[in-house]
Amino acid sequence: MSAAIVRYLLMMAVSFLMAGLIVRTKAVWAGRFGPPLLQPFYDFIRLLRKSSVISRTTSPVFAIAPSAALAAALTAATVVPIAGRPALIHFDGDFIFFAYTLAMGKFFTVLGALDTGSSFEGMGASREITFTALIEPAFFIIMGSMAMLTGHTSITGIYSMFPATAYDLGQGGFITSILGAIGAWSTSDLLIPAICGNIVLMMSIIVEAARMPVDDPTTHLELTMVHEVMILDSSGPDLALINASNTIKMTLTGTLITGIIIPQWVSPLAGVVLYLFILALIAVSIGIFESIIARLRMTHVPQFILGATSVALIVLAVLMHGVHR
Amino acid sequence: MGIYFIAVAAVVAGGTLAALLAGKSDDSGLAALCAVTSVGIAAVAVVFLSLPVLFGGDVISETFDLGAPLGAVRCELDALSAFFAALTSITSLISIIYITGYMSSTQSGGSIGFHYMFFNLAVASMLAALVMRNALAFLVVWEIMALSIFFLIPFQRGKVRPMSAAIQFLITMHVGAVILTAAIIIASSGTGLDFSNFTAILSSGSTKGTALFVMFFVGFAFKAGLMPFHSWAVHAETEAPQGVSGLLSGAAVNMGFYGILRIIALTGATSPACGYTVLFISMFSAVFGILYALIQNDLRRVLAYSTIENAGIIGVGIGTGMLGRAYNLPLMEVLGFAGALFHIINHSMFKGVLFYAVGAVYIATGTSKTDRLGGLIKTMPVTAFTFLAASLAASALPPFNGFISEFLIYSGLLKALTPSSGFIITLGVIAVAILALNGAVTLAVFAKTFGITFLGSPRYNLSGAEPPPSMSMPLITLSALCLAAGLWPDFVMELIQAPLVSLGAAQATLISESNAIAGNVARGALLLAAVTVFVLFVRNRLVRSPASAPTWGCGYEAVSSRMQYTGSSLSGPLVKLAAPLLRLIQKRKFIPRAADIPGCEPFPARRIKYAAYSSDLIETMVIDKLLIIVRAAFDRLSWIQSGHTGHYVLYILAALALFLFAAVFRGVA
Repeated sequence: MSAAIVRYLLMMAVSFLMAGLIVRTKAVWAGRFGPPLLQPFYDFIRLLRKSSVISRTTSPVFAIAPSAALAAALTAATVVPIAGRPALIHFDGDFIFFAYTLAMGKFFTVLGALDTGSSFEGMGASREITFTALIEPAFFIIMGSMAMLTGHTSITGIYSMFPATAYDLGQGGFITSILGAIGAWSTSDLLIPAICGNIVLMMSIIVEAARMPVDDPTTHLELTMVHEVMILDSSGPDLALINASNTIKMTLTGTLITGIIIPQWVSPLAGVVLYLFILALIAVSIGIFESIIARLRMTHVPQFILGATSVALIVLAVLMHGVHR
Repeated sequence: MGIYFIAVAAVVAGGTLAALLAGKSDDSGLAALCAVTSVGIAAVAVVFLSLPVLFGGDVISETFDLGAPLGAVRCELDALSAFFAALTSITSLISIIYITGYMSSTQSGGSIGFHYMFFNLAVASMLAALVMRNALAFLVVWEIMALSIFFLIPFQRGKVRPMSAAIQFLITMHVGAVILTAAIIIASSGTGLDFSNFTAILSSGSTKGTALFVMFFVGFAFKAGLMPFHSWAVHAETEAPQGVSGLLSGAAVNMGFYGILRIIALTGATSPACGYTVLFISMFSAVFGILYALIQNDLRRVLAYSTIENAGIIGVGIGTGMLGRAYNLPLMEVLGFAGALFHIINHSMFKGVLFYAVGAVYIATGTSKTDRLGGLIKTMPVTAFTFLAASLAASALPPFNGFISEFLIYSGLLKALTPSSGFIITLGVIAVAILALNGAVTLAVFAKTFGITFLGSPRYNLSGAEPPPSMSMPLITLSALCLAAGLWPDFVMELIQAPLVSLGAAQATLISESNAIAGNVARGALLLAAVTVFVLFVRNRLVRSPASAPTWGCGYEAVSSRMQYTGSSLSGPLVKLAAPLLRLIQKRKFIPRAADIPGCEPFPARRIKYAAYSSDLIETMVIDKLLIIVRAAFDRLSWIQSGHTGHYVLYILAALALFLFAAVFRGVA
């Protein structure tokens, strides 16, 4: 239990680093040096200390919204297995709990945006609910299929059934084990769902964390924003909470990806190292991806997101094929 | 059983007395008291009768010999009946309390006394229908229920739309009743009218048994508001007074589900075909119900379509349970039925709040069009926050009750693991994805509905005051219950145990396993609530004396409240994606005119008139087309209505002769 708490706190700490690493990657790619890796954390502390300005139009809902969003991210994080080890808490169907808890945070973020009475923020809210409706089924198809294939319905349970588990480090050295794990994966029913799962999760990072090509986090034009425009009127601690919840949400999805990749037989320390390594890899690839790609036109974003659904449908086909075999 | 019928009779008597009292004096307070007291007494009696049945496993049963044509009428309060009876009586009590407040606040224009009388009659007939085990007696009570609700819908005299909604309700209910009657005739031929006689044919597994099940299901689905049999619900719940809409959505729809579950209980072992029928129709309802809710801009229509969507979710639960039974997956069966029963309770609670809050908004502002409202949270905080709580529950978000029931249904679908059929596994995942899509769109619908109506600033300066306590108390009570059932679902799980047993989904180990599944996720929801409160506490410590300023207009100075995002613009992008499914009709009309408005230079001077309509696909594509065929067929037969008295006498004679011959012929054969 205490180890699980440490891993949980590690993930929280790493989330700021991950955001910093993306910014740094983009800066380096553009030929600049960029801000320190911990800049998002410094910003968080700075914002917490600042005083805030609140719109006269708003109601208590606006005050609740950032806290609800952060609470949702913090709670959802408790069911995510970290570094190849079980999550802080796990129970049957906790992936549904994960998705609905995050949805609760999103619901309040949207309400907070509408509460200001600003048409710009309404626009952001409108895009947010549209994209959510499109990405949600893909996540459920992936997790649902994996649940069916493994017979487990908790994220921890599903991850514990990945074929790499069967290969012990003691059986004949690191390379042999890696080869064995790859061999086990290649014949596993779970191979295609795991690959597709990673693609869908990667796309959902882009959508949920407002990255390119869905949303440009550095844009200065409100008309093209999604997430940024919903928080135009947030300031001080509220803004800090919102930023933290977005960073944590991005890291959560990243952690789900690492969970599919990291073999379960590694030692706790090696697991953590691998976890940090893969997370850094994800952050760097997001940074590079953002540097080389332009933001899509808003009307084309749904097509991009529906791509995730079609990848998820592949899994469904595999499921049907797998059980008929 | 005697006490039960005394309670039912008390409701009828109370209503009649209310009608008499309201007719005598101008003061309707006494009539209201009479109606509320009678329903209150009945609710207490019914709950006290139901508790030992639900928790002690008793079954109260009695047979009354009513003579021809009904014969021996068996009445029984088993767990399934007790569950629905307790729920109906409590929902009705809250509804009638609300109605008394609503009626005293609103402009009358109809007879309040008769309104109470038919309300009580509707409640009494629902309670009576729940215990009838004689098919003919059941049909009679079922008919009284439909008729009394028919009289409830058009409250204000002389208004066309409520009246046509009521007539549509009556016709639709009769189409359902005809199918039910046919099913009952088939099921009881050669055996008897008692429900217990139906088991043999329903459980036979033959094509006839399956067809009979589907007939019963369709007959009851009309009442349950499942798509494509939902049309009445949209119109009736939109046009009826809000208290009645609460009753329709919180009790009348449940009667349909009672019927479906009763047939399942009678059937016992179901065939997969029956399960697939229920599941497919329900998935269709869940998705299309919420998509139609998304395009509505009238609060009442949003809620009406949301009823259809929730009926779909309940149906998905029932279908899951049936498939679990058909494929011998007992945990899937228990979780599906448990989720359905749990969601029936939840839907009655949160939909009550939503309808009652909309009623309060309607009284305060005179409109229920979302795009004309805004900023109501400042003048009506109680209404707004209860509506928010109910919206969270309706969107199945933790920590509210809707989440627990949908979680149970999800869990049931994920237990569709059987080596015997790959189809059911894939179908399980598809149903999970459908529920996820439904959940995301529901979030959009309720974020829009709540956000546009209550948040921001008023769009047309429509602001109202809080409703009287008789209207706000039901709101507070029900939304508190929604939260309580979401955080501590254990009591509700206990409550649905006995109905699960009477559905045939017994086995103590499985029930305790499903209780554990609900308990675990409720601990998670409790954690979420605790973390939220904690973060909010910390946040409030950090945010001290914030400065106040207008909303940032991104550089534009002359922001007006009319520039806020409207409901239509909020749901626009999503609606556009779903438009091919919804038959959205948009009309733009440019009205050219000289640039005579001073100060509008940056904006186009011509006015644009824009209107968007959505037509219900089922109504335009199925019902209207069917009506054309039916009308054409009846036109061909119009020569029968010749208008000559002699002809009609001849028809009577011919009919009598026909029956005589038929009787003689049967006697010979």
